[in-house]
Amino acid sequence: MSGSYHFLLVQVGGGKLPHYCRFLCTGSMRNLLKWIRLHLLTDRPELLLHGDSGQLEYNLEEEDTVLFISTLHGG
Amino acid sequence: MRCGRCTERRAVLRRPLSGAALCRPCFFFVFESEVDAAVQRGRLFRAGERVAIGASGGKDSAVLAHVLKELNDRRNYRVHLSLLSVDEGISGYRDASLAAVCREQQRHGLPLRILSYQDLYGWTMDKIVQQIGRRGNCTYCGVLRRGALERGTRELGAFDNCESGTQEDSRSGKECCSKRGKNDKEEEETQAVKENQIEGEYSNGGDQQQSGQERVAVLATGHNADDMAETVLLNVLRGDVARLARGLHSRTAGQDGSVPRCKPLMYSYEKEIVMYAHFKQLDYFSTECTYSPAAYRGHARTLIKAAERVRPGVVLATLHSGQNMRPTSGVNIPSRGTCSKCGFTASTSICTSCSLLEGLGKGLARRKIGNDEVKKEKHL
Repeated sequence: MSGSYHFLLVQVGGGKLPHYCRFLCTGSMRNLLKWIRLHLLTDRPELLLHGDSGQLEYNLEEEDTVLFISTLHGG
Repeated sequence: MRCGRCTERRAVLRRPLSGAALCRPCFFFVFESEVDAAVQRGRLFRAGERVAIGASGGKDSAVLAHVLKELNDRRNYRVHLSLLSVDEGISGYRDASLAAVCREQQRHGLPLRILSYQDLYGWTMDKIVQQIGRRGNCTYCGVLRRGALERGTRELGAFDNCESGTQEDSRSGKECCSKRGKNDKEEEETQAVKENQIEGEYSNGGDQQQSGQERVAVLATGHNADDMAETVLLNVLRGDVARLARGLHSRTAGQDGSVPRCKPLMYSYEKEIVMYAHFKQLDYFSTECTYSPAAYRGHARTLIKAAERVRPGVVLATLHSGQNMRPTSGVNIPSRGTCSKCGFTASTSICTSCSLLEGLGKGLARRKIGNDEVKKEKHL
């Protein structure tokens, strides 16, 4: 249902215990990322978001988990 | 959304290359099968060999160790696995990542050996950077690490310090976490004495095995497909035809005194490695090296990443192109000899490792390593 709010879980992972945030969110992945960039990123937003990429139109659903994992480091 | 393979379970990810949606168990299965295929087709291991897994504490080596152990058991490779780590002496970075190696080691129980620059060379990266600054320090680190890994792997072939041998392995698993620290000078000294003894036995250089049973030791590193694609681009951009010509093989030949090396994850996408580590809840360390500057490789990486967004296949395609490049006649390919100082493989009379260390000892300013340097050395 478009327009209704859903509970979302945003995880930040990468080898350690992930940080969790629960969100009330509506709409698409694109909206979520815009919100994150505006409200959560304090420094160097280009590390997270770079231009356009696929699957931005995905509509977030109830109890979805969005997971961010860094690859900006050596293996 | 359902998994595209089993059509039963809920999908948890999309594969970066194909876009196929997979559930957790199916993802594990296809990822591991593909590594197995790389091992089998590349003939990376032979039964009975000692395999030293280069373990940095990062995502790639964590996955490598986990998958190789799994496949060794399940697919019956019959190799003896152990971990080999290098402590470059970078405070705040390497000590933390080695702690991650120890934690993972508790989990899978493979024997662990840590070699330090301090013990091997009498220098730490912290001290080297103090002396030469932040330009060219990565060159030192890379060359010295290669030497350390080579030495550690060779010793694996000579001494039985995997699986059963905890006597030789003074930094084996459980001890390593509790004993590490500045207080433990006694332990460090014992280790240093052992290193010197081992070094003495190799002082005539190049001899790979002691008398007695021959044990082949091979070094496995966690280089992934993205790393390989970056390397191809890097070498093209720098005109390093020799490196390209040496090839991006699955397993290096290991003649003339250098240990055989292989890269079981070289066809695995970095994104999948990260996701595998995440879903398997592997413990790894994920921060940039303290000294990592704007390394040239970063430019190659930026380009690959940008191209990957448009066409995900570019990673494997670039690797494929690089593997099939051959130098034309007339291109100078350095020949393989041995270093007059330490006996390891070198294309010049003194290997890069020894000449760098010599420069440090004399307090010389940073030496740039490149084709010019190689040509100069040949005239000496």
